[in-house]
Amino acid sequence: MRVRLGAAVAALACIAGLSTSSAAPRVAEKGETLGFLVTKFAVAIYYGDFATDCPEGFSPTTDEQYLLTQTPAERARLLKPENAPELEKKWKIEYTSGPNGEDICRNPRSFLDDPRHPVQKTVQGKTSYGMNLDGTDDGRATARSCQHAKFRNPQGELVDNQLYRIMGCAKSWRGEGATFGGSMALKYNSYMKDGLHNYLIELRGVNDRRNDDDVEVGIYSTDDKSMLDGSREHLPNQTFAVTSNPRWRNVVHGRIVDGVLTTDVIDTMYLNWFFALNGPYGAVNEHEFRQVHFRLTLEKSGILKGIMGGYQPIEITSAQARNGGKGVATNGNRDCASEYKSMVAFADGYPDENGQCTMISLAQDVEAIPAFVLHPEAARAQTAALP
Amino acid sequence: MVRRVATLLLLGALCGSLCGCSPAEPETSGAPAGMRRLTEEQYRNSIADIFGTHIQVAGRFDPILRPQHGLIAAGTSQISVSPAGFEQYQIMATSIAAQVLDPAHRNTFLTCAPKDETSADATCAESFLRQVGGLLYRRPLTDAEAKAYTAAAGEATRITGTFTGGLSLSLASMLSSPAFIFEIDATEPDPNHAGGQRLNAYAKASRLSYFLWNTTPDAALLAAAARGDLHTASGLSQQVDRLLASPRLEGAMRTFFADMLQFEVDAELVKDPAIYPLFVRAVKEDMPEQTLRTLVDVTLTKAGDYRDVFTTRDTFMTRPLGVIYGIPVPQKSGWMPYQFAEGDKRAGVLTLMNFLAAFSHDGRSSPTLRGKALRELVLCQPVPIPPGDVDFALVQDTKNPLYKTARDRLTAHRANPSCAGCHKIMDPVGLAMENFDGIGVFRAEEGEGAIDASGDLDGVGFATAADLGRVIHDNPATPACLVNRMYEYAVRRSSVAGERAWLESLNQRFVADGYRIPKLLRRIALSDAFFKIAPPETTKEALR
Repeated sequence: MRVRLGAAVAALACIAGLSTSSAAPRVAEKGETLGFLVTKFAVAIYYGDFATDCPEGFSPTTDEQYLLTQTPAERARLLKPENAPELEKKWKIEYTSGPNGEDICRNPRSFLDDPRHPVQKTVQGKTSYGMNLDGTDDGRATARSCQHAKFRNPQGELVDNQLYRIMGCAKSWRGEGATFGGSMALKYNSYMKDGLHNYLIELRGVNDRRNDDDVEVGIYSTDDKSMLDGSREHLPNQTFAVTSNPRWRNVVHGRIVDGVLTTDVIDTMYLNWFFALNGPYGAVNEHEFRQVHFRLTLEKSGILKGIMGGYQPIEITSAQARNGGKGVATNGNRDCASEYKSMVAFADGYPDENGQCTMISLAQDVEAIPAFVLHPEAARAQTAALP
Repeated sequence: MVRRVATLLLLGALCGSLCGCSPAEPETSGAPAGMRRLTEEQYRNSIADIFGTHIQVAGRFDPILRPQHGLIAAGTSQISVSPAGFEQYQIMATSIAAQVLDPAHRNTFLTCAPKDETSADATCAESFLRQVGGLLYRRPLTDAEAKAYTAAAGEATRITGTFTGGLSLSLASMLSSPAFIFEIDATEPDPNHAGGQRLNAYAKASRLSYFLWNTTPDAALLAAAARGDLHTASGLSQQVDRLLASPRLEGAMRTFFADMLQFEVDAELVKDPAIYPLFVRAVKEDMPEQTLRTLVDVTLTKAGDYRDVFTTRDTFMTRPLGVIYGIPVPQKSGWMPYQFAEGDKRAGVLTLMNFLAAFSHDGRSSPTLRGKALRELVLCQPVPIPPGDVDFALVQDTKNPLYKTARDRLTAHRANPSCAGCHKIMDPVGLAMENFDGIGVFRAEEGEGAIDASGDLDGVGFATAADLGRVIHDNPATPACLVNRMYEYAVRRSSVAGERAWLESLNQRFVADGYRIPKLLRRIALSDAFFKIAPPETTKEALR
């Protein structure tokens, strides 16, 4: 997408009354400010050769997994057309409930010891998007991580992405075919088009868009909804106000090298998230990421594009399924219990007192288009768009 | 705003009375008495003012055709009602009457009660019909009319079995009558001109009200008509000043500007979404409103020089429009004032999105359409219709490597002598706006070609579209055109030959008044010309 970027710099002069927001970057006095609306923020799937990545094929869907729990004879019987109603009842009702009526998606922890819901098939390929979160070259356990296998990113760097390892062979996350089609990313990015949650990125103090070793990067939530064109694409150059909730405003130092912006680590980053849930694991209405790094390319078209790496508590990663409840397992055909069990098994960050890691490494695809970012305290344009 | 306009009007009135600085008004021929169909807006406004905004008006209206080089307002005097259109009027009338007399509303309008709900009550019915009829017809009902409608209500009561049902049908017939659907020039002998005719007081009231409020006369105006005040200078002046001081003036002026600048084009406006993805519904909806707000701001709110609408850097923004203009809009919803920076490429309403998008093609800008619109709508300089055998292929070939910009293509097109004449009129001013694409987004280049927006208007040069606004501001045709249009809007017909001297005089006074529209409105509304009725035998030649 190539966007037209216009007279935003001149427009800044028209909006007076600057005051500094609580998350105001410290380098505001120098350089230009560039604002962006995040248009993609979803799990990054590396679409390598499918046979290499998933040599055993896709992980079973709920109905497939149910049938795998049956004897070959029973499986054959249930698959007869005349037994379709019985099969449907069994996998949609019996299989997705625990002995006390537990919901497979709302309460996946109840199924951790249930052998009918095994760990999912994992990615066998060696390549993934991501960042080196633990700093090791072998994935050995550290004070902040558990033993795990490393991937290499397309550039050959060692990276961590255990979420991709367990979900990269799931139809619901990978989608079918080497595209986003039908994937979780498509769904997540669509939620931003629906205005359920939207995020902003702001670069401040940019003196040289190709090389600048001292820029401030803001990652914010906004309550403002995005306008879309007739093809449901976000319009560029919209105005958005940064959320008034300081918890959802994140600021970090970054540097631009050859047009690639790399941030320092954000220890904890919160952003609002549509999947509000008051379930058995408590209220979850925000994303929580730890040890966050961004690596984003400032493209000539004006788009900011790249990867975010970090850890996420598995209780939040699984919140989307919990929020959807059993419908995720039936209509969405996702075995939530297997997904959750896989997350527990492959979690590689932030061990608890028992040594069990509570968070999982991941990578998010990030794409952002030019926008005007306003800070509510100032009601002032703090961005300029690319020429 | 109202206070500021009123102050200006007061000063103008003082000048006229104390300084004696107003020259005598030239005699005009006037035009024969006519009738003008209410526009949809006038119909809806009238119903809302008489019965309240809660009464729904659901129906379609026959379109009113715009006369060539004229206003839609003038078209109201040149049309009748088609059979299908009348059917719609009847449907709306039945619906409105039923709502007025339904249990939720009838007590608002029906101040008497029938002796028996299932029987006719001529006294109560006539009381209601005379009251409502006087408002709908904008004059008291004649005794014959009152008698006829009362009789109709009685007969309908017999058929429907209820008093309000019968009254409702009689009211519906009143709403379907030409006396409501048309504003009719009722005349009477003019005591000041032996053998001549003049509008009667109620027709004057209607003319004033539809001119300055775009709706039916209110009770005060009808009362003034009943007292004969509108035939006296002081009485007329008092009512005109009251109408001008009302916030309702803005509604009428918005209608005037929308008519003058042909905003009806917006309704049919389509842009290729592949070329112009920013042209989304919210943008399209806000586009005309931005221009109207700007026009009202300059001419009424600030009571400024009309010509400043072509140079003002002040306008209004919404977030959707901010996408088009490439600017931040702090206010989350609704409108907020905005000022283009000194030296910005935009200044004046011709550089706002509405004009630029409306007078462009679906997939590209059009210096020719923009230039033609500017000449015809702003300067009242009609451009001849192109000959039938014009080859537009070169102009439309936007990918021609030899002619990268519209200026290149039009220059080549003008090599054809049969095209050159008109394009010399349109293109230089239209090319000034080439820095804005087909939806009004700024661009420095067209494809790979740099855009040259310079040119001249009647020998006066300009460098940019904003600069062109200054040239239009200073062009004497600009205010003269406005004066002609405003008079046409006031009398809802094209001006006639016998009014040229008056219009010239009016223009001179507009200049002397500092190009203030409120003063222009007052001068028109108080003029003899505004109410003048030509004898029926006036020849077409005299009117031409």
